[in-house]
Amino acid sequence: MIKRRSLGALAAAAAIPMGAPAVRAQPAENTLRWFSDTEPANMSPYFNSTREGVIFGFHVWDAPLYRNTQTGEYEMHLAESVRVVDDTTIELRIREGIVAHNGDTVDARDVVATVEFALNSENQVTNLGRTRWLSGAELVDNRTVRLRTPAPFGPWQEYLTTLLVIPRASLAGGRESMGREPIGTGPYRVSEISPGQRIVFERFDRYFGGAKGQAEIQRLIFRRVPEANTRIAELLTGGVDWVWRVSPDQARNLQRRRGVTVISGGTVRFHYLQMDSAGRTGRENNPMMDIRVRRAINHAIDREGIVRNLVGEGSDPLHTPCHPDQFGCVQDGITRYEYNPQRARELLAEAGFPNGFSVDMAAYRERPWGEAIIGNLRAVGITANLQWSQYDAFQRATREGQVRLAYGSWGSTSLFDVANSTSYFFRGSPDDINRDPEVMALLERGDNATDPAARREAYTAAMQRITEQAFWAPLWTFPLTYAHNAQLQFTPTADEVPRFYTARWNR
Amino acid sequence: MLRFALRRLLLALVVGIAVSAIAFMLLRISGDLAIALAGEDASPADVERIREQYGLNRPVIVQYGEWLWNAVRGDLGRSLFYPESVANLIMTRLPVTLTLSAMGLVIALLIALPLGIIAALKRNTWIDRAALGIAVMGQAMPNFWFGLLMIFLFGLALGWLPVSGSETIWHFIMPAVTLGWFSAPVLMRLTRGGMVEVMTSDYIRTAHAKGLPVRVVVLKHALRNAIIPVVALCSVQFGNMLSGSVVTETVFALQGIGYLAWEAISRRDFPVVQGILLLVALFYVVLTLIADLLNAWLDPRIRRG
Repeated sequence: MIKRRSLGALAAAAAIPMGAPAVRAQPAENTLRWFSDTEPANMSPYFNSTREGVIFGFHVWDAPLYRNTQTGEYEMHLAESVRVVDDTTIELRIREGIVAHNGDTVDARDVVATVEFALNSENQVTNLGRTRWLSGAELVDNRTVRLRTPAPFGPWQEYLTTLLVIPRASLAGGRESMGREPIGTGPYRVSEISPGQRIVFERFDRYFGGAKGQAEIQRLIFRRVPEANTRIAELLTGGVDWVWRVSPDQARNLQRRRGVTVISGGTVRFHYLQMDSAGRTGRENNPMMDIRVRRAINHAIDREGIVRNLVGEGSDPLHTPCHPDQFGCVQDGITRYEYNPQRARELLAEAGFPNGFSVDMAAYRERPWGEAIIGNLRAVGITANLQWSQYDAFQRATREGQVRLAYGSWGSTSLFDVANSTSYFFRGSPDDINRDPEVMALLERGDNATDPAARREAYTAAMQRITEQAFWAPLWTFPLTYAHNAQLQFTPTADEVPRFYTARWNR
Repeated sequence: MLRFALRRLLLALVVGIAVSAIAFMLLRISGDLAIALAGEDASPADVERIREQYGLNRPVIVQYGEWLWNAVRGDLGRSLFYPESVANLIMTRLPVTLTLSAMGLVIALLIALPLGIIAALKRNTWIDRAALGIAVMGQAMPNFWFGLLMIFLFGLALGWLPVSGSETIWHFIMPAVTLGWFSAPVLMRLTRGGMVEVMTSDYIRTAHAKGLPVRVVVLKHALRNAIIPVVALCSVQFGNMLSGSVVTETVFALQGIGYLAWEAISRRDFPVVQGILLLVALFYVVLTLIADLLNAWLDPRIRRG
């Protein structure tokens, strides 16, 4: 038995306290502790691309617009009004009375400074998605700014919800200062960063409110706990109040526990199979170039069965290369491929593959689901050899035209517009392995139109063409299951961003 | 002795640089740092821009040379992801790993030495077999599984110990037992083997003949000789714990060097990987040196030799 004295000596040597942790969060203390498996290395939303970083972004910073998670409508937030000046200019009027966490006043000058900072390559910004649609910003007066886009840009409202404004004082410090001492305008300010230990957020009492409203919970404590079972054990022992990414089997067990609430929600993430219809991996003996083979693969996959047995609650089978909640992800008039292995075998025989064929399938996440797909394909005669890799190797192989069949997942950066999903994969980028000129032209038309009706019309035609040609086998939407202390009032949202500023304790 | 120590340190540096060069090349071959920096949802244009911004489009040898030149001058560089210098990052994680490894080694020795001695003294009895059984169990059970069982028993069922984190010393008990339990078998077998050999020596027979109590014969005369290889192995085990506790650190959410190394490798944060490699090489050299000095103290023949 180790004596307490020996432990004390070790603790002293390592400068680790013997006593209880400084903060034991409880509902009575109005503190919420949440654990996740990843921690953004840099707190600044312009220097990390992790999902947790996106969540931090929503709590510490603000954007000109805010998408109401209940209605899906865009609401004024930092901006009090927005005006489209012409096809490539958007004018924002910033509201008065916005105070940064350091006490500075925030206005249009901070918007200009943020855009200029992000567009300047010397600043080595890594999350370029927030500003890649812009070519510059111009100050009209201290409360008015004009944003320029290089071309007409349809989904500008959606992107204005991600343009997080960083106060000038913070930008001046650059990447490292922004990461170590973040200053925002949001409902919470960062009060402690102990990398690898915890990050503490305190409610900002001078918050302007806007579309987000005032936060109820006083303090948020974030910790990274990489192992899923450890997170669950912490939840059951009261060491944490909120966890997510709970697997279906864990969810089933937790549902039986008193004091724990398990809730599933959707996300805009979806899973898909990409097929090399353009013959980038070689045109000879490439079954994926045959529409009958692509349709056979679509018929071979038992989406409902896999969703029911593996993917879990909150997921739905998918028939379009986008999430149905995204603008432009039209479901009418598309070709749907129901699960029909017999029809798949017939189509393969018609295509000259009565005994099937063998193909490599690249993949990088949710392996058990990928293995279920392999099982479905084997049942109709297709041997899919799993080529498992890290994401960057997967992406590089795709972009270099080495992938004939790819099993992937796409989160759309939580944006509710097909410009960030279907257009990403089908508008001729290196990730487009289908390269269909008709689809490319339709998507370009949709992306560049500013009139919603014109956009929807172009996207409808694109969806019909993509599904009719079976360029992809869309699989299912990605569910997200949360488990939390039953005393917590928490409502999941569909964009994979929990809003703790709307949560509260039942006391 | 000073020349000996300096020679060892120089050797460590050479080994460290060679290992870091290989690691650098392997990291570059295995994936694309620009994609890792840009994140999953980045467009190809974003990735290309980041490649240019961070100078990742320059020849690999130039990038490595630049890092090496700075490292030689004592600057290990800055993490590509954390807003920290590599040295700072390592120093903030080191206390966690040092505490975990030291406690793990103490626990391994507390298990291994008594069991090894008893097994040797009761050779070929059920006690010997039971001790061997424990040794086999320790090595056969993956430590992530053993760690989860500990969490289930002491964290969930009994509620005696905190489940994860490193806020107090009590947070280290389960991870240290997990680490120590995994390392104990090899130390136990070596102790048993050494004791079996020593107990049949002439000088032990003489000690018995002189009428010395068994406790004195075993602990003072036999163990001192039998433990020499164990001391050498302890340094290796401690080195392994310092550099290879990633699984234990992951299960118990301890943010130490092992987890930092894993994270840096998966992100291809090469300045951090290189810094850790140099540190690990240094660990091994220092630990081997300490083991040599301890052995010399335990066995005068080594000093004279």
